[in-house]
Amino acid sequence: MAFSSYLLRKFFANPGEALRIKRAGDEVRAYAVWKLYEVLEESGLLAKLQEQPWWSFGDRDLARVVCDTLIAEGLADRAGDVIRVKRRPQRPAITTREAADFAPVFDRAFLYLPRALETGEKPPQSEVRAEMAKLLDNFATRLEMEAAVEETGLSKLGEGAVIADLYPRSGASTMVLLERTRARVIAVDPYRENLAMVERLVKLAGQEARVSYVQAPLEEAKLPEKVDAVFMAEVVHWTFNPRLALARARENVKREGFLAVAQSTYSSLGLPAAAAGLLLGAVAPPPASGELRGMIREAGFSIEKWLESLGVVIAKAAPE
Amino acid sequence: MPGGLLMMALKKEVRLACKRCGEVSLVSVHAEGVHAFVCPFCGQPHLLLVDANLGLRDFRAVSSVPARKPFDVARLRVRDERLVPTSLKPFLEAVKRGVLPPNAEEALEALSELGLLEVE
Repeated sequence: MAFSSYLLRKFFANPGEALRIKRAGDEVRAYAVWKLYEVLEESGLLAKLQEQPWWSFGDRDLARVVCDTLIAEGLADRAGDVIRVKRRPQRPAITTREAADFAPVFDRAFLYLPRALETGEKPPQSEVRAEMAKLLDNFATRLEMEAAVEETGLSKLGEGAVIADLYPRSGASTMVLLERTRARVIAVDPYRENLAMVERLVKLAGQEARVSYVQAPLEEAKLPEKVDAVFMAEVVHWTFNPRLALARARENVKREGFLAVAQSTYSSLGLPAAAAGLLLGAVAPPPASGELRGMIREAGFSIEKWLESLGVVIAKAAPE
Repeated sequence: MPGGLLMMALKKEVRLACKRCGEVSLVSVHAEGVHAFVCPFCGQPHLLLVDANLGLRDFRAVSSVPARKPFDVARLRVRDERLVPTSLKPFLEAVKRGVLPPNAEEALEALSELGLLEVE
């Protein structure tokens, strides 16, 4: 795995922490891949993936992500539209709190994998609400959000500033903004039950005065005021029309404001995480890095900062 | 019977005076942890925190509780701690240390909405 831009910057500032973050990312990835392989083998699907093309499975997106994950990890080779398994992964040791906190998500999510692959049926959201919340609110995903807040300059905004937190779902992004910035936050989410969850966390933290709520689809959201920044944490592949959601973000941000993005991509850790995400509520696999750049530009933003490590992008973009 | 004696030793009668109407209820607690209690006289919800010796560490009126048992307390337990979102972990850790944080009912409602709260 490339020791790429975010980690490289971090390494110069704090080598010990950079190495720890890299170890955490590697452990999460290794655990997810090991669990995925184990579930595929036990369910007999590993054999089927070697016989049937990925596009013949009940959930094509999921099948493609699963095949690409095994290939990217060197566990299989591509042979046309099927795969040839080369080796099995070892169960990894877990030494970081991020990996320990994230691992149960894969344990739970992949229980639904065989049925989803074969029939295309995913668990109802009401059944996996805790798993979805944990996917977005664990020490590893929080680390990604915290890094984005720091690197994009959200943490430097003053008390008078307003940040729109798009699609917080279980509220992890809102909590990170409350903990790491001084700004007010507008939580924008299409679902009332998500906003209710965010509101509970905000009350628990005693931060009611800093947060307001807007229930609206991201593609149609019209905020009560133009904001200084829009934060999109793991939103693009959870949204039916991310291009439109980004365009609305552009309309809602002040001219001198900016967009802050924390987004997994179709590579590295982003691949096995995408398999879990697809089972727990994501509507598509995450975008490839270049695709994400294109979406942000097409929405009318100019990219000012782009850091990428471990299959995660942290980006800052200003309105053109 | 030894088992019966053990059961007796693991149960304690507690007098709870409602924080709103003042009426006293006698309830029995069997285990440590957070319990919900709704005053049978006026309907005021309360939370109580019971320690390992079945002593009452905290008892407070709250706006709502995720469970109610008439004339009794409902023990609230987390179904699978590994799935508790990181934002709610400080609440759980405080409870384990014997402290019921302010706005505890919000954390319990959140756990309940996630399907992570078991009621005994």
